[in-house]
Amino acid sequence: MNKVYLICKAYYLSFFGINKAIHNKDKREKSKTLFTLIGFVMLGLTLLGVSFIYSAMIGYAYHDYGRPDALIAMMMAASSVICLVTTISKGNSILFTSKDYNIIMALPIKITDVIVAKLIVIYGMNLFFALFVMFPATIVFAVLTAAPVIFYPIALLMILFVPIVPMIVGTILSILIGIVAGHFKFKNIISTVLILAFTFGIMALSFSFSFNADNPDKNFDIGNAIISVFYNIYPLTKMYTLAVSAINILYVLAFIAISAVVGILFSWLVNLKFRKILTYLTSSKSASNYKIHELKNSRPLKALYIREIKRYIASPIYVVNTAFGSIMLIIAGVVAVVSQKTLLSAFSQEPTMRGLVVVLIPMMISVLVAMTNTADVSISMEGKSLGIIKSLPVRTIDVFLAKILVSLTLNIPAVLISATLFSISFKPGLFIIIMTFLIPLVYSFFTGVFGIVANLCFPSLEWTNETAVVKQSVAAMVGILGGMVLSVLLTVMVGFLKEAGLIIVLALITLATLLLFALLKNWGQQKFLQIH
Amino acid sequence: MLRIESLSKTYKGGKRAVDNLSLHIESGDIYGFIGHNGAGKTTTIMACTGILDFEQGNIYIGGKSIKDQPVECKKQLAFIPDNPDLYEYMTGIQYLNFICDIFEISKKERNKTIPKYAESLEILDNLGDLISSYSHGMKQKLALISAFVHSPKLLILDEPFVGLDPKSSHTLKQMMHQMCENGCAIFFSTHVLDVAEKLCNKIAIIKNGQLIASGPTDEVRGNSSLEDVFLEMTDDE
Repeated sequence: MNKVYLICKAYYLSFFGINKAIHNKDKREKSKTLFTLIGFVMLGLTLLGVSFIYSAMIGYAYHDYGRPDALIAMMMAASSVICLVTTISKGNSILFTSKDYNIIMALPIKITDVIVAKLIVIYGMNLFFALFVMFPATIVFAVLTAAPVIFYPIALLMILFVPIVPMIVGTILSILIGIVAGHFKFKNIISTVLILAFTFGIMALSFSFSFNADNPDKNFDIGNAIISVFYNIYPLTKMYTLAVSAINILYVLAFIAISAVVGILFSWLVNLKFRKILTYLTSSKSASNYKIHELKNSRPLKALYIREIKRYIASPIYVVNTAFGSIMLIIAGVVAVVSQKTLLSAFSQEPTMRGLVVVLIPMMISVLVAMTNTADVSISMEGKSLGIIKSLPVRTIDVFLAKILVSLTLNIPAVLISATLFSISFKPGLFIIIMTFLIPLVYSFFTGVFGIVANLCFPSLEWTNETAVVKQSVAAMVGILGGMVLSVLLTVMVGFLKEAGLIIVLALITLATLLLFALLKNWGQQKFLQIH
Repeated sequence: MLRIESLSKTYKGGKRAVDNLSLHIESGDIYGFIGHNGAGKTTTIMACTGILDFEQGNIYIGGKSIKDQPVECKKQLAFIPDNPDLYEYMTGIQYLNFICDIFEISKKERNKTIPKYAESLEILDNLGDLISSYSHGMKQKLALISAFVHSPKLLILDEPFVGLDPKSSHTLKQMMHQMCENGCAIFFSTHVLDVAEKLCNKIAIIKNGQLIASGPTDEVRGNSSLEDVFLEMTDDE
């Protein structure tokens, strides 16, 4: 177990550059990391607060329907889906294809220990998500139902087991995707397509379980209908909900036993087939029969852009994490058109609400645009190859532009499609239509430029796993959360100022983009040179 | 071709990696740069290639300052790092084509030179494969081709012989000689003193960031072997 601890410790030390900060002799760098950590703790507490408020709102509503336990069921199903979806994209890369494998596998460590350590790392990440969702819901439920003291230790113990089964299922899917993709030369692209297909498939399946609240049946029980929806999403939800809400020790033990057995069985199976799976996942298809054909040439900026696109699509975790916002944007636009009749009939009864929703459309699109920021980790993703681009005869600003262009490649089509669909569905006036296109487009530029600035401030080149950059780096957090928080604040402002607010937002974002771009041209070029 | 004037580089935390180093490498030189691990070789090389910023001194490539005209300087040089961490998401041919695009090599020229160098380094058959499937030596060969395709006036290499098989090592030495005959200047770091002694017409020895000897190989080594001279000069006792 000591070796399991050592492997886990080595992995967690890379989180947010903690170890680098501890051992850095430069006091400025140390304090920068310290302030960043404090910032994230505060942000985490804020998000936990938001989660509490959300749970309280939902909890009271379900309480009124006579089923406060539906809150537990809902959050259990939600955190399980989150764990499943996030593990599909990263399970395989953490468990099998980390760059530190050559070092670890050469050490006198049992494969079982390596597997257990890597599973603990995946579990740790999922537990983090589960706690954010489940902890507030559990407390709200306890307050609503005046739960006895024994509820608290049982409920908290049970939260620890929530991520296990979805995490194992997600890892299995992740391995299968890796094995299937391994049969192709460009296996990363195949992996990306399969991960996206699974992710959206699972989400669509989850949303497909719904109920009709306007059921004409007089005996229709809305409380039971709600809870059965969550029970259908994930079978273990029922067992978990009954175990916690009714403090049913039998279900508690059964849930823990199922989670433990699934975990142990999976570890045993992986241990048995570890080398075979590792060979499947890490071996590359090489034909070694290349015949030279005529090569085409491109201008340097175009060549840099093509290289960035290749880098982007070669990383499934990078694509899945960033393309999500663009895909959601298009889906939201399609849903808006499909449910046009329902929306228009709802709005005919609430004209004030229609006015508010319509004026907020450009801002809602901008929030999703902020989620699609590939630029915020694009410098870190260069890793140890950064020296190549720095030694080439290209202007640093062109390197930045190529990175921003990737972000725009994803955002601009998504904005144009969704803005068109929202305009068709909501039929706003000409001014709002123009703003629906203009604000998100300018916001796309802003997030791209802001992403590069964020990455220059918080570069991370010494990673062994792309997940560490895409999901756990400070730049990724600052880039995406910064853009989203700003767009939410601006949305609130537009909510108060209406049309005038949109003009102010457009002016502010344009100005901020120009200022940040000027910053990149001066400070950014210097800063880029200092990163190594 | 390459003039380093009073170069000093201090890393964050106060470590002075290079201290007031001056060196002049002329066209046609094969200049070997030797020193212990951590002596400041890679820092000097990274500063020369524009990868690393420095606070004191200046570096001129073809008379242009790397600080003031980095793009113009880089157009004249090719750099091969010690560990060729190339773009693993590209195939070999995609990588070479990318380098040609950046150096604006004509279609005709690249279609002529790439097969030539790939064949002489015996990697032509593998150019269609992803770089991630390459061995260390194959990556090194690809990095060498990417350096040769744009006919640089200055070639800077950090430990170029590490990972190469004997035949490729021999080919590389021949290529280096050929480039020098065509007026290219070559500046490379190495730990292999035998290679440096046989290949280089000039040698520089660095210790704790300071240049302790430089000049024609014959003058630096005198009547001893380069190994003896190096050990004597760098021995702290």
